[in-house]
Amino acid sequence: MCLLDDDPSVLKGLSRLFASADLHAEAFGDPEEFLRYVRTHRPAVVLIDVHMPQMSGLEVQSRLRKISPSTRVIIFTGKDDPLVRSTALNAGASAFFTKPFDDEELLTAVRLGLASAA
Amino acid sequence: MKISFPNYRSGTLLTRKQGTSFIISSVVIGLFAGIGGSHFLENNFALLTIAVLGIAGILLCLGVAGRPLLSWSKVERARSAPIKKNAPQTTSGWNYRPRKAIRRSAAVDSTRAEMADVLSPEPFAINNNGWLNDDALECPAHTFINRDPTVEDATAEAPLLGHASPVSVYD
Repeated sequence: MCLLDDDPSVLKGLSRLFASADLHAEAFGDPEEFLRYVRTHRPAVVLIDVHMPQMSGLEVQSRLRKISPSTRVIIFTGKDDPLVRSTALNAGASAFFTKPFDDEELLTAVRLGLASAA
Repeated sequence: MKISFPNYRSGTLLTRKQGTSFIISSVVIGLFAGIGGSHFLENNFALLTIAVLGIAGILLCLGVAGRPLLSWSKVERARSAPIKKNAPQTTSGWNYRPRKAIRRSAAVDSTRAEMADVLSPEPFAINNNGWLNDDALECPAHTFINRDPTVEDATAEAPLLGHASPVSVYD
């Protein structure tokens, strides 16, 4: 499982959340680095933030789909834009969350993603 | 963020002041007694020795009297130890709780939302702030179905017209 967000505090918080649920997550702050990692490791589930300075989360999702179509994508964002949401979900995202979200709901979405990817 | 402040007690300060005044008063008493005694006795050795011993006795008594005072200061120090634990602490945490009103009102008020809804009526299971794509997961998921429609109905009427694009503090 991988996390991609430009905010280190979010990465830290999510990593702790997944660690508490016995889930290991590789955290990335740079989209290019994340995509390089995905090329070689093909993670089952990835969590991607929408708004990042280097690259949009939707663009990352689009590129990820070409690299690893089987990877389940969960998108999360702080700005609730229905257009972004529908774009992400129509592009094949497993789930879409707006921050702040319920940790149990996120874990459920991740577990469902892992189960369907297996 | 929770900030707590320590409760400083004035007792510690008073104990320190008392200890200092005790030492100063002992020195002053000893000095005056010595000077006065030597002057009064005019080099009479035997009486001078008795006077010195007397002064020493007085000081000893004062010391004995001061011992409980010193032990009291120790008690005060022990009392103040847990207070240090209450030193200003900042605790921060990520609140994952959903802010229900914002998303729904944005969907209602935003013209872009209307456009998006027209373009793609969402077939996704919806929770307060989570959307699950059932097609992508290929398995039924009821986790994100809103079980409390009354809350949604109430929040839909929230007057957030000025928040066409709600922004989270976390992004």
